[in-house]
Amino acid sequence: MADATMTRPSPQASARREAGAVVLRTHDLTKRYGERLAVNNLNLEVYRGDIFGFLGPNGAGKTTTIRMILGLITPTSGSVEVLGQDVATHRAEVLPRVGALVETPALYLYLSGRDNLRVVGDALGGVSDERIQAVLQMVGLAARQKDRVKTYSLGMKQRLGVAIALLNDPDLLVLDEPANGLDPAGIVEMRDLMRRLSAEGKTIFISSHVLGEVRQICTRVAILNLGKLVTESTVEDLTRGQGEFAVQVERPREALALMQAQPWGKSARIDEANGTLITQAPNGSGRDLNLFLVNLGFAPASLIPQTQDLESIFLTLTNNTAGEVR
Amino acid sequence: MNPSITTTTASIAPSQARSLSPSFIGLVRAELYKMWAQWTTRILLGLVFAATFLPYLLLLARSQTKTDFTAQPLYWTYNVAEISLTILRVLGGFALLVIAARAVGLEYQQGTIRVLLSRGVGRVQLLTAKLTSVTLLAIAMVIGSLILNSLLFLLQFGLIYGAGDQFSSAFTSGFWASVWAYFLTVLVSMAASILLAICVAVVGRSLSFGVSAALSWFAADNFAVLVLFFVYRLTQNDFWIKLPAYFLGPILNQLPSAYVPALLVQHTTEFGTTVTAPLGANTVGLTPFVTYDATHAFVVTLIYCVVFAVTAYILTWRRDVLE
Repeated sequence: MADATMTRPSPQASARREAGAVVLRTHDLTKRYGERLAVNNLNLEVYRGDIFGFLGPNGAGKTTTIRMILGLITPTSGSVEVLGQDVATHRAEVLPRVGALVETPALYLYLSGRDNLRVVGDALGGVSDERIQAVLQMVGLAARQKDRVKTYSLGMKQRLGVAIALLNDPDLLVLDEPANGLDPAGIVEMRDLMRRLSAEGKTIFISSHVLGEVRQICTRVAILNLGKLVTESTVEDLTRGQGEFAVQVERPREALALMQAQPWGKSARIDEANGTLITQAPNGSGRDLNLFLVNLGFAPASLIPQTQDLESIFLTLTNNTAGEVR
Repeated sequence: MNPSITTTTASIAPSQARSLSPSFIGLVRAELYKMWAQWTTRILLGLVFAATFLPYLLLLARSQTKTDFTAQPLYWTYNVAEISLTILRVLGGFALLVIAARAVGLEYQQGTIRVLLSRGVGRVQLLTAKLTSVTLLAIAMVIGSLILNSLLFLLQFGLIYGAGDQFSSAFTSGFWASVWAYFLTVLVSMAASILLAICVAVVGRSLSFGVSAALSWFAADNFAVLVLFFVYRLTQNDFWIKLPAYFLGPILNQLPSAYVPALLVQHTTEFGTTVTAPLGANTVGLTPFVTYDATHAFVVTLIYCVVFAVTAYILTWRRDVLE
């Protein structure tokens, strides 16, 4: 099943691979709890500037993987490399260059938003007031910075969690469900922030259930199910479909018969729901398909490349139910 | 409701943040700040300092204090010092139990430990920073208490009673030797309390477990002394009555009387006769029903402290952080 959707990497991804700009890499990463394999031989590569979507149903092993990446959980076997160094042996050098938000934002509720940033900054060796103000501005909490965190809404706590993640100006951001609790405007702002950070050369690793969000901002995705990597690809490649086109013509059954007589048209069929022809194209080219049909007197009313939506791919790959994804 | 974001064009300002790396000094500073920001810490320290006034207020309310002090300055000064140190030992120990358990337990319970560890802060480094900051707080509390006691003593006996000329008779070398020994037992007791609280909070990885287990410990082993005494009476087996000599609470309770050298003082009894008698340190709480020397008490306490520290460090170092 995985092979059916595993596609070749895009030229950009290939270029990054060649440049060796791997920011995060896992080698046969495995975590076992007793008899249960939470993560099973996971091999991932995340490249500089990627916004990498890490998807999977509940219990797939996403959070366990993130915790292993951040050195919170010791892998049963395998290793994690961040910025070219093994996290297990170089955590003090590597992890200060990572910003993370794991699950719900963990905050000192009795402190103000600003003081939360200050104590984390102190622990990291000291962060200037200017930097604290800058990250508060970035996440839109400057006006409430002096209020105790226990008076914050869930969305504000989420923003503060992101601010803490950004405090050390990290090269790699690891965000677990960053849109949790945000209102629609907040989600849009968060999306813009991710894009801006990516444009500035930061690498962002996002675990999310919100496939629409992932589709909009991620450049590459990996789908995890039952602890195993099901697929890893660019979003573009993953949703490209099988090179099929949906064609609307008059007399579709006659056109279908002519197409099926061609080597490239063996799988052509009619979508009975709307009478549209679904077919491959000569040389995989929409232009050639158009020419073929026009030459035979079937000028298409429309000719649209078929794509697959991320949700259906996710559900197919994970055998999940629609209720578990949004 | 979320505030609207008006700063979407703010960019990441060039910063020195990239050169950051976890700092032990910074961690201690952050821990002290977090502790002080909690009302629990302020209230507990306030209670300790408020209780410091208690013996002086009681003496002030007593009509013959000035006369008695003038007649027997050493006896009264030593009693005041001993009561003050007992208050510091008991209430200060209680405050440190709660503060230390909160320092560790809250970090686990609120999940903030993962924020720090995921930035490269070492587990052992973090625990050591917490231990250091609680110790610094304890030192500040002890120094504050000593200063407050000194001021109150000078105010009451020097200024109010005008008995300053008796101080030379009160502060003898024997007095200082006994008070110093008692003070040492207070420090030992506090150290054991801090390590106990940190250990149980690490084991339970929660604030509620940490605080309740730390507070229950001494209540439980004090109560166990009584239970074992009854078992001894039933079985007539010496084992049961000797066992509490290895319990931390009873050992700490009796440490002052086992270690502090008795001070020879002249004391006028209620019948008007003046006697010279050794004045030993009082005990608070239940003590073992067998006698033991100070070395035994220190060794047992040290073993407990080592076990608490090793348990806390090994669990912190080895366990996955699932919070």
